[in-house]
Amino acid sequence: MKLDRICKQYGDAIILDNIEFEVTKGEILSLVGPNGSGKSTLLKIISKLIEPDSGVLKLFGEEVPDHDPEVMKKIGVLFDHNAHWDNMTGYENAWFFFRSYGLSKIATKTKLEELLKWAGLWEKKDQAVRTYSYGMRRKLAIIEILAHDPQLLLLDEPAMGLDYSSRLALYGLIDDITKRGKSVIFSTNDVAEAALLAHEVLLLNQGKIIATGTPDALISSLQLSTKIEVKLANPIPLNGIENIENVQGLGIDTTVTDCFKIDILTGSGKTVLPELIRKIFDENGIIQGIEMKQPTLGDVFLKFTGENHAVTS
Amino acid sequence: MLLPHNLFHKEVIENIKNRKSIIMKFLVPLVLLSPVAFINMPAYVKSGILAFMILFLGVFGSSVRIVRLREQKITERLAVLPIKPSILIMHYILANSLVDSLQLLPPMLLIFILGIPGIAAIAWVLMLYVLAVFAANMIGVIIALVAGSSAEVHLYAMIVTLGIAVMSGSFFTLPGILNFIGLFSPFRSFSDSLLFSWGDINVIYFTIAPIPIMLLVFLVIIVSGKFFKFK
Repeated sequence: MKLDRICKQYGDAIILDNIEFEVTKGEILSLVGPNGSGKSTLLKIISKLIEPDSGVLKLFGEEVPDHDPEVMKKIGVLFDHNAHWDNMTGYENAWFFFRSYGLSKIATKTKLEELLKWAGLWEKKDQAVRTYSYGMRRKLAIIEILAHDPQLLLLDEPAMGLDYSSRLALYGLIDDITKRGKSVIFSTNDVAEAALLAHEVLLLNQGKIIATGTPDALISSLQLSTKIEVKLANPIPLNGIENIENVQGLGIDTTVTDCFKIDILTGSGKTVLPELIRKIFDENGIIQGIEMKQPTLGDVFLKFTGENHAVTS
Repeated sequence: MLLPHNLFHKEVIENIKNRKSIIMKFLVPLVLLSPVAFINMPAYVKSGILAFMILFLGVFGSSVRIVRLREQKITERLAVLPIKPSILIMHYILANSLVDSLQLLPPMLLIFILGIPGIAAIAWVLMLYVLAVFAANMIGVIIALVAGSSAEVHLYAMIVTLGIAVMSGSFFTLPGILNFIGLFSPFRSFSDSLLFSWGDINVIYFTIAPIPIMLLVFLVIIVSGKFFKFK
């Protein structure tokens, strides 16, 4: 899937501005951005629900017409809503979508049972969807887009409303899907989710791509420092620690009274930590606890969206 | 268990499943229209009332329902199915036409039979009845396309329903060219078929009845893609 200079405008408001990216087989791409950054519009353009004002969208290597059944058979779209026919049961709703994707009655029955059990909805399958909680509706919507084993999954905030275990199950499922050569594009506000799942992250703000790359590359591009917090039972001299290679800053946290706490800033936490521990032992320090606060994709997000970032640069 | 294999099944099943709604759907037309069978009034008024009921129920039923689907965002979900929009819309119209036909059938038969019909005309009346219901549903769908919200759809449906009822000339004869145009109305064809079966008129232009239906089908197919495009 490839987007080339996609633009979308409503009146004077620019929703998407020259969006370009590509997703290859087996790749997970995450669209991360604040509310109103254009993530959902972008997913709807890729789903062919919204016409861009300009630019080229290629799906499976070619420009495709709207509502082409052969193309739609290869795509699964999860919206940011869970629209269902509320008076019908979960089973009936899912049955409709499975059959509409061209599955036979036997295949529908087998696959639906398997997926409903996976989602923990089997026991409630004969209840009207209006009785379902938000999370249950979300799970049902997820099941419905998996019916036809799509080549490309477009997921708009897939984990929204899901409990923790369901989120983990969803992440596992997305991972499995991509291992089988399928591609996934998902939007999220949760940068931790993007960092956990995505091979490639695309940061959107006010309709523009402000940064793109793997989560690790984005984090290291900011050259943010890692903060190591060490709690000691007894005070020690800090001269030795100051001289450790890659230590950028050192300070005593005077707000803590029950122990001697030192904060160390470094560009490379992994290399500094063993040396730091050795030095503390050399000075007869008794370690009560060590916490390493590494920069996250959240810091990248905050940095690029114009907010202050949590870890000192 | 009845399971929906496509949108046609889904619409029919959803109508059947809601018992309260289905009772109301059958009871209301029966209660409203039964007096027409027994009250002494000119035959053209009786046939006109039946034609108007078909128009009213079909237009309002399908337009309001489809706008609700759009507001509930179900149309977004349908739009990403590997099914052509024209097929989805036709499934929707056919299913709702079937339900409407069944819904109006009891009072229609009551009025029709009490009017002592000529047996040979029964097939014509039934065929034109089904075509009128189908046309009303297609008009409703087209209105829904233009309307932005439930409130708008009510307004447009009211204007269109009254406009068509007048233009059909079922209740009174229109002058000159307007009367000729009225002959193309599927609702006029239906009301005329009733009058013909009761022996109240001698000539009926059955042959032109499929023309507006074909035009409506063509129009619906042309515009169906717009239902599944979003802003």
